[in-house]
Amino acid sequence: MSEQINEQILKNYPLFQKVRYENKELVKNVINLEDEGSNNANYKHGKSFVKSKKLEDIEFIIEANKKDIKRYGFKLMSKLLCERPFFRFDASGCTHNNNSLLIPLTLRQITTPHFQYYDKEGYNTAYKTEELKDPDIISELEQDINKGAEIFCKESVTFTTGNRYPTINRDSGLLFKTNEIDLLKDIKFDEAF
Amino acid sequence: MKHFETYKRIKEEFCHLFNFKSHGNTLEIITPLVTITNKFVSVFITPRGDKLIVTDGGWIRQEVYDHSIISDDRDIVSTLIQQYKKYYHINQTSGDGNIFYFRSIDKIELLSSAVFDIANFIVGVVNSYSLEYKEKKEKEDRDNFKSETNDFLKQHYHKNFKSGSELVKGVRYNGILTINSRIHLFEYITGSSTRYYENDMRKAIVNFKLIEDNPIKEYVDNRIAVYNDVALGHEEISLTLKNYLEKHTNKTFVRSEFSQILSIIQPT
Repeated sequence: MSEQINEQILKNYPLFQKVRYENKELVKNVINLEDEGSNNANYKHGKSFVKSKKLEDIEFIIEANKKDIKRYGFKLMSKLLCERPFFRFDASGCTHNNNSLLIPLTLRQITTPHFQYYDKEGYNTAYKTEELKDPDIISELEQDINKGAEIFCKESVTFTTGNRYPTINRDSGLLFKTNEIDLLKDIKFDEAF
Repeated sequence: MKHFETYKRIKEEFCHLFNFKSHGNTLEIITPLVTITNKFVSVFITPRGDKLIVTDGGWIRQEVYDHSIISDDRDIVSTLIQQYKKYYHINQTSGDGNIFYFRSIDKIELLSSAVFDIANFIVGVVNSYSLEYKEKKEKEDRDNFKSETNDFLKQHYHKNFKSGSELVKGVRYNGILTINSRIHLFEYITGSSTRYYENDMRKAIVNFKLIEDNPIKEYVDNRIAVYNDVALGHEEISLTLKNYLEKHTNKTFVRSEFSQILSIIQPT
């Protein structure tokens, strides 16, 4: 079971906070998404090293579903800090439960798009910024991974040289270019087994 | 405390957790149910002719709930899933490289019931994949021994060695080494207690015995048990079991003497 509390982050919380808000630099200005390097055959994958004064092994990782334009996410990872990504963004996908004794029920549910980080108790916590509550911005980032990248970079304080945003090439393999596509349309649902 | 007001408040707050999203013709219902992986369960509804299909959308198989479908305890998990399918009356189909759990209904009056059952099913199944069936120390010791043994064999035999592979359908060995079309099978024996250690021995006995009736046995040169002789469970194992295992293996190695494997099976 994924641990409720991330012990590694808890031990290194002051360092995590410094890295979280430090002005970090993406080594690559342009990132091409490839099949190789992905653990999941349904996803393309891209990455760039990140320069930081605090940790020398931070990577910016992109995963994008090959068929569904809006299923993509960004992660910052450092094995020196902890095994799991220490900051992430998901444009769509499942809804997070902030499993805290201190949060009222109605505020525990955080739909996508959302960011995830670890709070000072070590719990994996999701949240939306004001931008991520705006339906027009949500619609825009669902159609365009580069808009999502811009939002992620601002919130994670990670930029390319000249304080700019990376360009992500999703390539021509994307089958569907609208977020109105029905992903279940080819599934027959025969009574099988 | 005023009971009716309190009840109303709780009901409203629960209901507040219902949400929806549209995906073309498919409706996603975000339900108030959660998994132990800290995710709210989504149920998908899509039309097929005059029926409605209520489904997990393939999210269980795709590990969307931040769970893993690969585990050492897949046998336990498999039987749990079969029981959940039966209890909640769930069917299964495949398509597009994915597996979908679903129920098909032909009356709108039955829709909420189907959503309720599929949602509870998803909770049960994702939780089954995510629970720990062994104590943490046992899991860590086991993972470490497996990694060390795999790393040693991969380092010396490279691509000739595959860990966690099936030789015949349904029988997975800890390692299969293939050199010059000859096969060498590995089973690893470890455990932080006698119980876990002897379970591994039993599994190895069964896995090696299963080959005896299969034509592929003509290609199998060695059935090898690799014992973790520094594990706590090694201390008091049953001699009867050890003898029985030795009847079905032709080579045995211990962790402290890994390098002996290299003199028996020459790396190319």
